[in-house]
Amino acid sequence: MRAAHMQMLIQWREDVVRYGDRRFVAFNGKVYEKSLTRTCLGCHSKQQFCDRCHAYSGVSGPYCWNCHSDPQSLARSTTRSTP
Amino acid sequence: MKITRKDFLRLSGLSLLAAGCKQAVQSVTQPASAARIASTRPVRWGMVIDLSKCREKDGCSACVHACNAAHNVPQIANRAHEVKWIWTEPYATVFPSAQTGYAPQTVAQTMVPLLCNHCADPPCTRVCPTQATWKREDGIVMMDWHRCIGCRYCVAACPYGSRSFNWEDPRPSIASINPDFPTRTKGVVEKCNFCEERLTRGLKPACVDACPQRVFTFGNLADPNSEPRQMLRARFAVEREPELGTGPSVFYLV
Repeated sequence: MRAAHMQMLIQWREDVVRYGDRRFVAFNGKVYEKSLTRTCLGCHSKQQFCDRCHAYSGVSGPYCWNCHSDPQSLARSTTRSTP
Repeated sequence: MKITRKDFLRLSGLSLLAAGCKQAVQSVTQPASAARIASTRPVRWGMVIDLSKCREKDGCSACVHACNAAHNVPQIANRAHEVKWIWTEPYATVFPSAQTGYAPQTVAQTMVPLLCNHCADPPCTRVCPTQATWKREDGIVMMDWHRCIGCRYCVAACPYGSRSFNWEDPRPSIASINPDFPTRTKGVVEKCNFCEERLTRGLKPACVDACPQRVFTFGNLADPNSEPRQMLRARFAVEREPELGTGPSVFYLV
């Protein structure tokens, strides 16, 4: 995943946006939805998983978050604004 | 057991042949993901909007609010920068050639809901230099925001004003972000996607479900027995600017 996550994300993006194919069947037969927000970030934290490694390796480029939102930080910001 | 050179070559040749056959059979029985989506039944999603029902509750904008909330459509006060997927305009503006001057006030002044027409022959997809917008097999004119370079050719080409450009970062203008749908970024064009993300889950578009008057009828125009086709048979319907030959998939019952 560390070496090839970008290829997988691009593949998923093409499948979902271009072909409307949202089902991913893993090697063990488990079915996942091809979704960055729902599937990847359903478990992983953006800060701990994406940002930490990207900052360490100096790859500051991913502009995923200009559009895609991080559900965990969204939830945090709403709970803070509504006391 | 001793194996001769001849036997070894024969065996390896046979196993290579078997492996090749297996792959050929697999490629026939399990087509690629793209082919899996294209069903044998032709689909052309379309919508019929019953303005007589819409008129009964003039001033309602439940459809607009539902769409904005579902798709993170920003509410920008500056009209030059505004972004809209579904919106309303007065009847006279929408159908300038379909009025007599003697029509009752209720007809001439009601607000008509407008959205992308998902044309049969869309001018916007033809001018896109990066194929960031294209027409799907099921008739939906889709956008790939990853690929949009913000040239705005499509905005100029669309005769219905259905496309909006993000002149500024839309995020500060979104009241509450729905994490299930991406926002857009500064410099891309956006428009109605016929709730493509809801259709894959078997739901109807957000505006259709939100309307208290059941003004919108959504269905497959390629199926002669579908709900919109039955309505179009029963009542006379108009399209926006039919003379342009774009073939809209959105019909209005006046």
